[in-house]
Amino acid sequence: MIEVENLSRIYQMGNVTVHALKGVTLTIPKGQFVGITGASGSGKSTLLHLLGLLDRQTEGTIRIGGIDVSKLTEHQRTLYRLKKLGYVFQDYALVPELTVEENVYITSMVRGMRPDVYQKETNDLLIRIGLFDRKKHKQSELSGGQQQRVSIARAIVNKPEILYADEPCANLDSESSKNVLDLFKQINQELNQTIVMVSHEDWHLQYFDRVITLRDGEVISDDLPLVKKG
Amino acid sequence: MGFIKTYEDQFIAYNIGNILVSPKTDDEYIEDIDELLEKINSVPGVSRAAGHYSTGGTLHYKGYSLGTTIEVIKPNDERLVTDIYKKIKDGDYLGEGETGQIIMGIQVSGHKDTAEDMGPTLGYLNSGDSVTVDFTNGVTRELRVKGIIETGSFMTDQGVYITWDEMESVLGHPITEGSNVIIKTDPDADEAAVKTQILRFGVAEKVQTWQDLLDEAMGRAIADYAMLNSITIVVSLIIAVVVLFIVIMIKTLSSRRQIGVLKAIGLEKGIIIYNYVFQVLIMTTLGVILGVFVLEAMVAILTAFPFQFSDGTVTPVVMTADLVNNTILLFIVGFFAGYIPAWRVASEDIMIAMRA
Repeated sequence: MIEVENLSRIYQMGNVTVHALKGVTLTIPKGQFVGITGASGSGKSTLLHLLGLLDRQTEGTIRIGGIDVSKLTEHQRTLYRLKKLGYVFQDYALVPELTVEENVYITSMVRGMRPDVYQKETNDLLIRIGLFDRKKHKQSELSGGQQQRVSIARAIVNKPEILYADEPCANLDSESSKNVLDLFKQINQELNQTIVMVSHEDWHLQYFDRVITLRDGEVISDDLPLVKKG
Repeated sequence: MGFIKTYEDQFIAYNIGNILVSPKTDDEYIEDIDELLEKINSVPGVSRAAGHYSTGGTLHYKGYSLGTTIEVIKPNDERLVTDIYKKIKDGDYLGEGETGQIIMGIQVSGHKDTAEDMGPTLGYLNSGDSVTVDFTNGVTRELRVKGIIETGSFMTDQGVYITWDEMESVLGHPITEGSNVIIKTDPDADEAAVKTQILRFGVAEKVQTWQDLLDEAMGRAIADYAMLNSITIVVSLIIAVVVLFIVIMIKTLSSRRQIGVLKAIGLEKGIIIYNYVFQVLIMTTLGVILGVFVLEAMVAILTAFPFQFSDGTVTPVVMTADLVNNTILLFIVGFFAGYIPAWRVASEDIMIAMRA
């Protein structure tokens, strides 16, 4: 469970002070597929970065699984990200020099897992996302949708408590986007995986259990998607 | 190093052997040289000692005149100490007890092509020609040139030699004193230890190994070469460091976002830094292998086709210890050249790096 209380983030850009988030308070229970939406500059990516321990808030607290992660040191935050969190980025962020399977098990290697264990888990995941036959390929040999699926495999290979996705379909066509969202939904339902995803596409909303909408750094709505309300 | 090594080799082979015994500071000659030679020849580690007597003289040939030092030698002893007898270009070496004969270096006899002469000569003469020699005691002799020496060492190729018997006939009395004694040690002997033994045998003259003499005569030159060598190494290392630094800086800067992502997914800064350091060390290893290969190839080529200097042919000499030291130094500076730029980029805030 993620508990956020009075979360604020203020940036100083030259002489301009930017209030990216203003006192956001929310709770995300385990297993929920949450969508964060809003117009450009509304603070949705900032919120995701703070929840993902990629950035530090100016005010407020974030508790994940009962731990106040705001108080962790840089080293502890790095370990926490490695062991508890998974990330999917808009531009996939794969390491181009590595093969598909290497990109997937890189964090498992760093965690010190046995090669036979992470190799098996990687193979299982690649079968699941339909890229087992491409496991020796490099990033440049994959389509955008395939790259994003590899990115998702990398994010979930260590069975994170929370999976964060920052506009994962922004660079994909509709069909690839649908495949990625289907995969997210499948992971969410089959593994009870908590997913927090930023999106600004209306048609994505149908996949979410809950939609948090931001405007000017504040939560303006936090509800079921309209499609699910009937 | 090749130049110094060539000079050392020539110094031993054609000039003083391994050890030189010369008169004490205030004396012009060594007294009773035969007794001294007998004593030195009995010292363990001494292969053979040869006495020299130096005198002045002026050589005349077809209108050319040349003042020079004439070395008086006992050819049989000399053959056992120096290699000059192997370097007779034209004619023969002196024989024991011969009179009326003289041998001289090519820088005295002169080349057929005068452009090759490096100073005043007797024009150009061959073995069998006669030269007139005016000795300092006023005696003049007509001597037949028995051989022309060409060693490649400028100093040796300026030498003029006659036999002990010839000089005794010029002086009109036996020569009991000498200018110096040159000594060849056994191949496995330590020259410094042999020098100590000679002194223990009661030799009161000045005893110096070739290293002592070169330190005295060439110390400054060797120091200059060493300094030049050091400067070259430092400059080479700076170039290597700058190149490695730039390569890693470009690699890290162009991978800022990727580094940010790797940090985001939980890779520690240290892992990222050492990944780049490892790349530098691989590049350094490849550079060292390539460098050694090029070096060995150059040595092989320059040994087959050596540089021609006034003091002979010079081939490069690679000191293994220097090679090892410089390699270690390269790895150390390479480590820092990789570490610093990698550390700078890896220390960047994740969000800033990811926006790069």
